[in-house]
Amino acid sequence: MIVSGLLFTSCETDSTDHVSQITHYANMSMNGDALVVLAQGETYTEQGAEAESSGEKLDVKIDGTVDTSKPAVYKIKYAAINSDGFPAYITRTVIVLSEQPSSIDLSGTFVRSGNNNIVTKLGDRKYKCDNATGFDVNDNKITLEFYNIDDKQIYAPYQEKTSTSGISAESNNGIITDPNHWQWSIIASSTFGTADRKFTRSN
Amino acid sequence: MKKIKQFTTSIIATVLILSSFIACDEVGETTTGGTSAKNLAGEWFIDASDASGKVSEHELFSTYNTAANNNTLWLDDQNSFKKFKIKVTFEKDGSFSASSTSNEYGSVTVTITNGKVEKEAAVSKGGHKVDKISFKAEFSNEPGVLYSYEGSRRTGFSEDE
Repeated sequence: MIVSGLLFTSCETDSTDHVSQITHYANMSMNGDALVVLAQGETYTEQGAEAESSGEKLDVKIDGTVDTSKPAVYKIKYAAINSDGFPAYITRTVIVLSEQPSSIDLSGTFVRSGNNNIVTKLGDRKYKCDNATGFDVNDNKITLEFYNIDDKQIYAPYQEKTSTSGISAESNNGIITDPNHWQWSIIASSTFGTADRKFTRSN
Repeated sequence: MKKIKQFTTSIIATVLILSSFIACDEVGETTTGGTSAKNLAGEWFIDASDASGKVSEHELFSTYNTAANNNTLWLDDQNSFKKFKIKVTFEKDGSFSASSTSNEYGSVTVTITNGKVEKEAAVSKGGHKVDKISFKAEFSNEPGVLYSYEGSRRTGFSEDE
């Protein structure tokens, strides 16, 4: 009897003893655009962001500032903490372009590892390239719009569906060495690592 | 009858006492250490060349610890090109070697010299700085012919595959 009784004794594995709970992260939405491009000296107006969790409005903490007198890439981070203490974030990117007319024209064909990356000019400091990582597989060639910030820095903001295969990508703060050489690193959702990618003009 | 009763009572007591020592496993130490060969182990893309130049390019190659988990390491060319899976002996500095060692993929024995793994000494196909593996191999069916192997650690990024 006792022995057969013991057979029914076992360690409980199904229940979590009420240690599992559900938490609702804040839903966040940005007022205004996630990408703001300004010319040096223009005013940046902080439009803020909204957050709610289970129908309840939450406070949004803003982290980051913009100095429009200095051409650079600025990131403004918005955070909201839900009732259980878990934070959610969204980020706005503010690009401040030099007020000087650009002295470097980056349009043309550039090469990395024998692969062409054709750069087209869209504005004085705005360009588009058709192979941002210098890769040889057509479906994974990344098309990115990017900015020549001050003839020294180069930056491509986050963009989605940049290739036929659907890669999302952003660049780091890249460097323009001279009119014929520039380099950056691409943060991509697949296929690519963050190697430094150096491009040299071929024509 | 009395004896049987006493006997039963003592059994019940024993069972009760013993069962009080039964407990659910709390899972003690959960941090697992690495194997002895962890710095040398991994997947690689490897090129092989002989005196005439490159004879095999960008082949997947594996190195991993042996069951003994001592100072031995498996070199495994995944049954491609020269087809070998052999045990080599490694040193603390990352160098390894083997002398006419038997081959799991066939009867040809293999001698390995100048084997080493160097930290971030190679560049992957996509341009990433990665660990480098290199060694020279001599096979018993081609005595006197030295093959130089050189490879870079696999990153998993498809641009490096």
